[in-house]
Amino acid sequence: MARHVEPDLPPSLACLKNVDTLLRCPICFDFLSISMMTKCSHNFCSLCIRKFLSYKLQCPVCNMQMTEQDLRNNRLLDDLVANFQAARQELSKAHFESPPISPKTPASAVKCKTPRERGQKPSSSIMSQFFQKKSRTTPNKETHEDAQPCNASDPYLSSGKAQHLVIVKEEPIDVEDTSTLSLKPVKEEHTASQSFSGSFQAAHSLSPSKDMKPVIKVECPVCSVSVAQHFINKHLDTCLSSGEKKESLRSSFSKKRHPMAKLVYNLLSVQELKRRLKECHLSVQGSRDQLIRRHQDFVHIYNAQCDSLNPKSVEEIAKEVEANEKIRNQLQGKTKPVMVFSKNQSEKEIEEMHSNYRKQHSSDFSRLIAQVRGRLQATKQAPVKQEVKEQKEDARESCSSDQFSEANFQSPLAIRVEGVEADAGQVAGGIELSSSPTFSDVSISSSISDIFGPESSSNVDDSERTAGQKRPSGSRDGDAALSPVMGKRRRKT
Amino acid sequence: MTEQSSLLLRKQLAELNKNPVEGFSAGLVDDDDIYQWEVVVMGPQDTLFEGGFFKATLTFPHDYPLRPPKMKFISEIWHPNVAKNGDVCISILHEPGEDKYGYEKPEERWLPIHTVETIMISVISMLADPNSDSPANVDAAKEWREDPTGDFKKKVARCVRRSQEMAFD
Repeated sequence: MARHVEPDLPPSLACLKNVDTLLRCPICFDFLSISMMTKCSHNFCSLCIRKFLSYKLQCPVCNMQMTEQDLRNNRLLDDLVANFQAARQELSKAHFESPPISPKTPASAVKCKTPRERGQKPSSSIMSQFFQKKSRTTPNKETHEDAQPCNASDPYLSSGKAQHLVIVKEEPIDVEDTSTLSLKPVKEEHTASQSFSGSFQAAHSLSPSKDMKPVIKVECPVCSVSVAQHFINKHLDTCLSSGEKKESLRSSFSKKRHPMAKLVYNLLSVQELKRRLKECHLSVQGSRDQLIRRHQDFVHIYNAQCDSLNPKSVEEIAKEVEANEKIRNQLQGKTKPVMVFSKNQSEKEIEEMHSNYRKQHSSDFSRLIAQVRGRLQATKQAPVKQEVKEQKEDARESCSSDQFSEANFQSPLAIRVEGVEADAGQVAGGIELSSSPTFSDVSISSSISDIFGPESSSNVDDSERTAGQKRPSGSRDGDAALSPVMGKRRRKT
Repeated sequence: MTEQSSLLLRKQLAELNKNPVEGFSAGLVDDDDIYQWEVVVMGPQDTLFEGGFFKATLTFPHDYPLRPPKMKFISEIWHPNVAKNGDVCISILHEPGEDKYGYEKPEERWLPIHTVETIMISVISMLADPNSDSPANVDAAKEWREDPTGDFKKKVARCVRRSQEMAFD
């Protein structure tokens, strides 16, 4: 869920509107962030879908039963989003004609860098792992950790890495202890005289004991170093005798962070809850409910971050959780319910409250009524006039912010009806029986167009015009695909 | 999360202003509070509600879109699925977890992919086609089932007339 607000696509790039819509999460309508795919092939932001699944175990788009374990990364989409966002920024920068976009240019220049950074980060961390192994001659463990500043103080993140580092540190000692086994090619250069098991240099080795037969090398399952076959058991004994290595045997399979388990909060004492919060670097202030909510939020964000290639540190997540909580508390203090009702109020009292409210907000409502009427009028406009206006409107719509003027309503309206009909036509074929809400949504909208489409039959003149209005809609089906309104409808299908 | 909900609602409001949808219009009660909306629903054509301008409020929870908003008509409206205090009772506005009535199919309940537009479209189709199986206003449901052209029609017509009168006060 990207927090920034992107400028709208310029009208000349309306052809990209569908791509833009497809790369957005159906829950937050932002560009997908750490996209996860369900069994039913629907994609969501990791955080969005995980939050929803804590309410209900089903896919929000097609209602298929699912759990968090069914989610899989869809990294191709992440890359697509990053690249598309960069391209989108570049393109909207290039369109200086539209004034509302130009002030955002400096910001967009900065944003353009993010995808490149994203691309680099994972590879650089992989590289640093290689470097760590090679630079094992440095006895100081600290220096390795410095290479990963954000993870250094973090128990969750560094635990995996720390084990890694411990091995690295220990290896030279092992070599000295056993002295017969060379664990690494680099080391071999120093100990070449006594080495039996070279790696790639084996053939050139000066060692006299192996010039007769080629040495068969096996990879040690613990430290994954190539060792001559007849020494592997001996090597394993020493390898396994070190406690850290046993640990690493278990954890080495997953450098990835593991998602945190969901807790059954009802079974936890407040003390236990506080202990767990402390583990997550979270505050232990507040009521039990607040503590639970805080921990839940943390688990959601943490687990979502586990899906990322470069997850945020526990501290960062804790800060985010607490910042969210702050905003929430502020909002809760601020919002006052519009009307407060109690159960034993009589109908009269309720009606009185309603009428008071209507009076208080009469100006708001008359504005809304004027809008809705404007739209009604617009549909009754003669179709010929509308067609001419259409092109003008498209251009004006993008630059004019005055959406309340009546003229602006006309074109979206006409297209909307068409769009709905076209959509309904497209899907009506095989999916009528589908239980999916997306499609039921379409069927609802088509029924709406049935309701609103034909004008009231009381006016003969009107009904004739409606018939006329329908004609251009058929011929403009192709155009409709490009229209912004059509694009908007697509978002939901 | 909180910030997400307000961003999403702002986006939807901007979208509705830019590409308005037939049959309803929406705005904020207070420009500083994105969680309280006011809407005016137009009675759909060729139904008993035709010509009415029904005022309503939409109240969004802070964890929207995970939980649904509540909709309340503050114009008088006689409809099987609108409680006498104005609460709209349609299945897509029921929270995802609960199933207190036991009759709803899961796909008819609230899903985070719903937007203000889809909610309003459902409400408009509810006006056009009342569901008397799950009435919020039992009296209205009974009248509608037994004699849709008698008392029911009369009461609805009165609501429509009053909503038109009030549209201009």
